[in-house]
Order: sequence, then C-alpha cells, then structure tokens
Amino acid sequence: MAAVAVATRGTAPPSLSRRLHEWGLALAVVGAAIGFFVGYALGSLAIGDGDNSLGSNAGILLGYSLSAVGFLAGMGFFNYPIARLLGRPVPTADDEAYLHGEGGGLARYFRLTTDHKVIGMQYVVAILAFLFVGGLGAMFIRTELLTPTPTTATAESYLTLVGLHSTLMIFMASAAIIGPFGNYFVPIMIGARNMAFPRLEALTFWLLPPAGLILLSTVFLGGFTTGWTGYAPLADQNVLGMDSYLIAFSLIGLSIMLSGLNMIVTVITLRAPGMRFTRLPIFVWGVFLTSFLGLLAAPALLGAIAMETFDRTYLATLFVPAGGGSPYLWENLFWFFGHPEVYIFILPAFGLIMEMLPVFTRRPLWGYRVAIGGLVGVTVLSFMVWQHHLFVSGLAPALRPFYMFSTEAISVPTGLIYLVALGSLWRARTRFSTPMLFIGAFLFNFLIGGFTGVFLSDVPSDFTLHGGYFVQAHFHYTIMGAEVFALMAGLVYYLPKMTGRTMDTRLTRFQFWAVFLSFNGTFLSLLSVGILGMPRRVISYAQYLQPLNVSATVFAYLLGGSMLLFLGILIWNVVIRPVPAKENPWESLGVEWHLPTPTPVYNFDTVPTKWSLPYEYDTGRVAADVGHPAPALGGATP
Amino acid sequence: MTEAVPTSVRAPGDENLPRVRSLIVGSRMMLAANTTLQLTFLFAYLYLRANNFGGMWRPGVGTPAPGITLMILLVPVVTTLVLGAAVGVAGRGDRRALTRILGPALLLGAATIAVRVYQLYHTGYDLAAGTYVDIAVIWLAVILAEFVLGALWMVSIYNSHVRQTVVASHSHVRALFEYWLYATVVAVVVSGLIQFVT
Amino acid sequence: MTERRRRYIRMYALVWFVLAVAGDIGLALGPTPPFQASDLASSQSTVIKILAVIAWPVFSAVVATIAFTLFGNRVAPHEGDIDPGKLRGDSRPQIAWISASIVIVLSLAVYGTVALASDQPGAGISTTSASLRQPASPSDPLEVQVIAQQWWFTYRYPTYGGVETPQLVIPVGQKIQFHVTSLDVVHSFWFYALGVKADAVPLNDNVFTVTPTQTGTYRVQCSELCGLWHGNMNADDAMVVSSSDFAAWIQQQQAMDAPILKYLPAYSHTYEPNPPAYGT
Repeated sequence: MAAVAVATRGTAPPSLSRRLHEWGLALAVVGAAIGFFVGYALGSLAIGDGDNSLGSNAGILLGYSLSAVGFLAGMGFFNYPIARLLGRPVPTADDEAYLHGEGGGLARYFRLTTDHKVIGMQYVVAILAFLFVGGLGAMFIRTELLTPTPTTATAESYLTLVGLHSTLMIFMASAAIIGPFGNYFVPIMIGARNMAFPRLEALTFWLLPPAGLILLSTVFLGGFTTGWTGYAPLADQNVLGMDSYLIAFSLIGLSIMLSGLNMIVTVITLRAPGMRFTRLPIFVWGVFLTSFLGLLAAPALLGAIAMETFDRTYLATLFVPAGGGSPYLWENLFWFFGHPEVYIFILPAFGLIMEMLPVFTRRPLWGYRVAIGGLVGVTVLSFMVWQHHLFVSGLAPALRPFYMFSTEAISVPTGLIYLVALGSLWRARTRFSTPMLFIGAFLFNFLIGGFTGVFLSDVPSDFTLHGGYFVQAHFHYTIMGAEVFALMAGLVYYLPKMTGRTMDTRLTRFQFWAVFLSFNGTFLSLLSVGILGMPRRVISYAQYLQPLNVSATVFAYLLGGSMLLFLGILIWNVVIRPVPAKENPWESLGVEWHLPTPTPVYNFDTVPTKWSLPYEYDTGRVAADVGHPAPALGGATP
Repeated sequence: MTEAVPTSVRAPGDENLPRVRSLIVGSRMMLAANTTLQLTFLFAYLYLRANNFGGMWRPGVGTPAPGITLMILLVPVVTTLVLGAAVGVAGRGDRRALTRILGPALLLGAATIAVRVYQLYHTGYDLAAGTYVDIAVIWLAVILAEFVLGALWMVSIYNSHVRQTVVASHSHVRALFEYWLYATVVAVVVSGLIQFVT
Repeated sequence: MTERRRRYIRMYALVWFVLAVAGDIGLALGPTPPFQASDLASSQSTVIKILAVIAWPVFSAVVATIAFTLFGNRVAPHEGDIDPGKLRGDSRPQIAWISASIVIVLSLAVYGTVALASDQPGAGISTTSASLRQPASPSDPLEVQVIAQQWWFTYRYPTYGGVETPQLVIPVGQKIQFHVTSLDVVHSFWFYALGVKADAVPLNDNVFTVTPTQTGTYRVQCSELCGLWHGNMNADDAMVVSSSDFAAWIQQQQAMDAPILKYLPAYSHTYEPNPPAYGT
C-alpha cells in the first residue's frame, strides 16, 4: 500500500489522464453515443433478424445498457477498476486528492468527484431537475383532466405523460432526502472524512443522469403505457418505449442498492471514536435503516426487470399467461421491491424532520430511543406488507387477513415517530422559523397520508378504494405532502450550510403558505374524487366528477406555481444574487453547523473523539468539539 | 459552489484500518443484497413450477453426462477450497506462498467459467435461435455473471499481488473467498434444484 | 403548573372534544360512499364509516395537539416552566401511546377480518368452473362471467345457454356471482355502485359475490391500467332490474342469438380461464 503522505500539489502541467478527467462529461456523452450504437448493433444481431420487433427490442435494451456503460466510462469510472485488474500502481495520494476535488472550484461539480459534499450538491441539482420535469408532467395531466373527455392529449401521449410523471417522481423520491442530505451530512455527523467507498458514492449519483435521459427518451420510441408499475403482460405488449423504462429503472435500482450499501458500511465502519450507535443523530439512523431497505429490496426489482427483458427479447413468457407465465409473478416481485421502496422515500424524511425539530423547539429530542424503535419497526415490517397491493387481484385470498394485519401493524411504529414529534413539541417554546413551518406541514400531511392508509389496509374498504384516486391522493400525501415538504424544509434549513447562502425568509414564508394550501386543496379534491369512484390513470371519467376535478386542477396550477416560486427563490438567492448566510443561523448544536462554511474538504482538522447527541439544548453542549471557533449559542433558552 | 475552499489536512493514514473493515463489511452487504436477487429467482422458479400455468411449465434443462455434471459441480468447489487455503496463507503473511497458490486459483476460476458456460449452453439456450428461454436459463446466466465478477476480482488481486502494486492482504483474500464460497453454494443448490425439481 | 397553563390545557381538551364529537356525528349520520346499492356496498360503506368514526378522534387529537403545542408557546412556558425530568422521554406516555395504538390496530384488524369473512366477496382462484344450474331461489347464486379484454367487458350467462352480451344486466335481490377473468392483460372490473372490484387476470377466475338491492343504471369501468384505451374502458349502461325484467331481457338475448347458433357448432357454456392441461 502506497504510503499516504501530506504532499502539496505539483505545479507541473496536468497529466493526460487528468485532462481526460476534466473533460469527463464530454467524453461521457461520446461514450454514451458509441455505447448505444454498438449495443444496438449487437442486440439486433443477437436475435438473428434485426428487422423484427424482438431484434429491435434487444437492440434498444443492449444499446441503452451499453450507452450507460459508455457514459460511466467517459466519466472515468472504469479507470480504477481496470487499473486494479491490470495490477497497475494504486493512485497516489495526490491523485486521490485531485479526485476528491481538493483544489475547490466550480469544475469539480461537473466531473467525477469523490467528495461527499460535492456529491450532495450534485444530488440537490439532480433531484430538483427530476422534481420539476416530473411536475411539468403533472401539470399536463391535470390540464387534460379538466374535462371528462380527451381534449388536449391523445390516449397515447396521456399515458406516456402519466408514465413519465410517475417514474420520474419515483426516481426523485428514491433519493430526495438521502441523496442531498444523506450524502452531504451523514459523514460529517458521524465524524468521518468521507464515505467508505467514495467512487461508489459518485457512481450512485452519476447513474441518475443517464437514467433520467434514457427514461425521457421514451417519447422518441413510442412511449409506454404501463405507468411506473410496469405491470406485465401489458409491458410485454408495449412498443420500444418500454425498454427505456426497463433500463432507466434498473439504473435507479442499482443506484438505490449501491447507495444503501455505501451508507451502511460508512455508518458501521467510519464512525469517529466515541461515536456510538446510541449517539448517532436520528437522521443518521433514518438513513442507516433506509439503506437496508434499499440494499435488500432493490435486487428484487433488478431480478424482475432482468426477467422482463428476457420476456421482451427472447420470448421467455415468464409473465405471459399464453406461454405459461403469470402476471402475478411480476406483481409479487415488483411489490416486494415496491413496498419497501415507499419507505425508502419516507424514512429518511422522518429522520430529517426529527433531526430539525429539537433545533426549533430548543429542547432535546423527546424519546430518542423510541424514535429509533419506530424507525426499526417500520423497516422490519415494510418487508411484510407488499401483498396489500394485491387485495383485489384474486391472489391467495387466505393470506389477506395476514397482510391486512401487518399493514395496520405498521402504524404502530409510525405512531412512535409521531409520539416523539409531539413529545418534542409539548410545552416547548417553538421558534417559528421557516423550516419549522414545513415541519408542521409535514406532520399534518403525513398524518392524512397515514390515516387514508388505514382505509386502504382494511380489505373490505379497499375493495372500493383500490385502484382509484383515493390511493393516488393517499400516496401523494405521503410522497409530495411529506417527503417533498421535508425536502423543502431541508433545503431551507441546510442551504446556508451547503452553500453559505440563504433563502429569503419573507418570500419563503409566503411560498410555504401557498404550497401548503394549494397542495391540500389539490389532494383533498382528489381524495374525494377517488372515494366517489374515479379510477387512476384514466383520460376520461364520469360527468359527475368534473367539478371536483376542475377544483383539483385549479389548485394543482397554484401548487405548480408555488413550487416554481420555491425554485425561483432558491435560484435567485443562492445563485444569481447570493444572500450570504449567517454562521449557524438556526443556532443548532449539530456538529455540522460548527464547522466553518464552506465545509473543509476533509471536514475535520482533527476528528473529535468526544461525542454526544446533538440535542442537548438544556445544557447547550455541542455534539462534538470540532476545534474551530464555533459561533456562540444563546444558551438553552435564548 | 464556492471558489476558495479552505483545505484542512490530507486524509491521514489512520484511515487504513477502517478501510480494511469497510471492504469486509461491504462485501458481506453485497452478499446480503445478492441473497435477495437469488430469492427473487427462487420464488419465480418455484411459483411458475408449482402453478404450472396452462400446463406449460418448461423444465428446459437437459441432463448432461454424469461426468460433466460432476465437473460442473466440482470445479467451483475445488476453487473455493484453494481460495480457502489462500486465506490461511495470506493470514500468515507469506507473500511468495500466496503467489504460488493464487495462480492455480486463477486457473480454476477460469475453468469454473468454462464449465458454467457449457452448462448454460447445454440447457437448450441458443443465442442464435433467439427464442424461448426459460427461468432456469436466466438464473444460470445470472450465476455465471457472478462467477465472472468473482474471477475478475481474482485477476485483480493476482495481478496487483504479482506486480507488487498492492500486496494481497488477508482481508482482501478473505472477502474474495467469502464471495466465491457464496456463489458456489448458490450454484450447487441451484443446479440441484434445476435437476431435481423439473 | 400555572393556572394559565391549566386553562390552556382545558381549552385544548375542549376544542378537541368538540371537534371529535361533531366530526363523528357528521361521519356517522352522513352518507358514506359507495352507498347502498348492494349488500356489499352497504357493508363497505359501514366499514368505511366505522373506520372513519374511529380514526377521526385520533386524527383530530393529533392535529389539535400539533396546533396547540405549536401555538401554545405564546401562552404557556415561563422560565423554568419546562420540567427537565421529562425532556428526554417519559415512560408513561410512551406505554400509554404504544398500548393504545396496539389496541386500535388489533381491533381494526380483527374487525376487518370479521367483515371480510362475513362478506366473502372475493374467493380468488376458483377451482370449479361455473355451474350450469339456474338459480332456484335468491340465495342460490346466478353466475355471470365477466370477460375483460382490451378494452371492453363482455358478460356471459352460463346458466342461460352461455349467452354473451356487451351489456351487463342483473336482477335485483338475487345473489350474483361474478367470475372475472381476462383474455389479454390485467384489467380490473369495477362496479362502483355495487362495491365490486375484482382484478381480471388471464388464467385466473376471480370470484366476487354480491346481491344488488336497488334497481338502476350504473357505470362499470376498468380500474387497472390496461393499455392505450384504459380510460375509455367503461360503460354507463350496466343495469340492475327487477327479476321479471331480467327474465324478459335474457329471453330476448337468447332469441337474438338463436338464428345464428343454428349454423354454429355447439360451444361451451362457460369460458374456461385455466384449462387444466394443454398437452400434458
């Protein structure tokens, strides 16, 4: 092992490999193009006859796979593995420092950089891009649903919009909290200088751009009509656009899995001395447990997608009844992934919310261990509930009481999260800073999401609610109302740390009320539409449902507008006219706020060895002494 | 975002220990994820077999000659044993002995891939025919891919060791051994399943 | 605890109580979808009503607590008013909360299971094909096959010579057994007014039993994404009619088919979704 030495960066002209690395993004585009054409040719040849539809399916699937490989190769992800394969010398400390983006500068955000803070920022941009492109789809969908019969879209373009909106939003939600805040803050919170596998971490991010672009490219291939669930045998029937979905989703599945692996290993092995599991900030717990879900659930999706690709190319007919397959097989495998997936969305959000609460209530987190218990309970139970998606499918009716029970049982650990939140709020002098508003809204929205879930978990009431807009509004309450609100809370809260700039308080407060009210207006309308009998994903609906749909659409426009306002404030105050933030504006005791802004490249001068929970607002003790002059706190009750 | 980032000290050498642990923990986590993947295929196999929808269950896998079956099963097992021995040697820190034992392991790894490819083709899978693969073939292909990854891992450890760029450490070899052992157990179990549950 | 604080808590309890009681009265007395057009629909609407009546007080309690704790800061705490002993969790509320939620969950699950068992609406995969016997009494089910395909439902009446119609007509007060299946992809047969929803899966016979109690013309629609025209896979002409009207209607359908059937070979009275063996 090469000795790791403190070395200064040479002044010699950059080597060829560094120049290539700096042009990584351009090379990646070239690599993706080459990969696509090579893959398309190979795939078409492999089936024998490139002209038939199976041949082009194989061509597109292989083309997209190799274009993702080419993209990553261009970014430089294979340099290290290939060097290891050939037994070439390991990168020097200087090389690693360069890769870490040690020199700073804007360019490191646009190339393979292994600094977890850079990756966190890259995630912020990617998540917002997914969110707003997906949101645009929602606006088109709502516009179409102003009238009971098709007006603005054809059946084909409508379903492709539905598919794109849902799948993009699923991609967004899979990493909305863990990507930006998990990557940026988990290593800092546990006292590490970086993640356990920094290259892997960069990979989990750089899988997102190809996934998003490949998914969007479906519009050139005829789109897909299955929504995000990709039910077979409809998926077998679909045109080439389906292949985009399969490859894009498997890239995301890979990203979820690898990110989970990396987070688990980081938390297990890289905690600073003195950072015991009982001192982990609750956000780290949330991320840690979510990572198990991602690690253990995503492979089921990858396996199912592998089977589906064989269905679409080699006529495996695993999901086609006419060939001895079964649609139930896809439904089971998909939801075995799909249900833990929704907790992948919400668990880190729970963690983030509970992490922020004490800062604004100025009290310790009430019931830290109860909170961990809640998170663990949700994690374990989430693997046991997937068949509640199949209550009306006619599959295994004898099992329905069990899945009804397990689904309802999951409300017990979820309730513990609420207990902790309420206990923290009880008798506290809460500071109504902007993130706190979003936290309150999170608690309210997720409460509706949870209570509507009870109606869906009960089999008899699920018979009427299943597959309708009630379900749609239910999961929008949990994903948009809770997770995206947590994302907004997190951005308002953490941007001062991540960028040194702050979002305008008055505008953000106005934006909060706009987004909160319009969100509830939209989805209360849709809850009602659902309970009155409107199925999901339809382009036309019964006449009597029009008034509620119009109401939903009007509110949805307001919702879209207020989301855009959020983006506008963010871009204006952070990028165009930067408003410098105070150090530690929320007066948090978290260690992340006591490092200088911007956070040093390796986080800590010396890794602290004495840690406590960052919630000791009664004594005012900072989670760890990081050696930097920390801004003074106003004491326990300022 | 910002231009001038204050640079603290370089990542110091005290992180070598966590890195070694990260490798072991990480590779075990990978095996955990792999287990879900294998269970996915197991579920699919048994589900399709048990229901036999439309009476169209296709076992699809022929029975090779006994000698070849034995080879298919034994070669990865022998490789595992050799790698197990390599773990012991690496633990003693004997570099030359490790080189001597990693060479045969590498050859056995290549042989494993060869017999697995043979098995895959023997199932009736034909790249050129382009039709009717069944779940067993996809499963075997996934296992083959895992052996290929394991073999690549072996190559990288061997090359780095022989060229003395990275001396193969005990934990490196152990992680590889665990991976290969896992893949072998899966391969043997799956081969048995496919042979007997038709 | 100061007098002011005590007053505040009393107010909070009062607000919650009024909210809970008023809401529950509204929920209990108001109409609950999917209304009363069949035994199944009424039982579903009862279940939804009961769940809502249980859920509303809990929901409003949590919301009230959030609201009062958030805004209570303006009233309650003075310096030193925070009881430091309870800052980091107190076991009594934890135990109370956990027991209460477990009790609620258990009772919900038991109630749901009992309701499910008494309705027996969906028997899932059926091993026997539809019987050919005509119902002798209202408790004897009339079997109707619902055959979904992209993008239409067809209905077959095995007991009436396998007559097949594009329109669903069923007699009121008669137990109906729907056998739902599909010819191509996964659909879902949703007869909202009757509270019937059953996925139509190829190779599977999804059985759903219901007794309509009100005559009328209703909407049936597909509630599982099934491809391009999923949004248009609905019909507003499903009818629940009196048994005499039904007898007349089914005779008319049979009479319409009779001239054609003369020239066709005999066909099955039922569509068999899962033939036991092809070639084995």
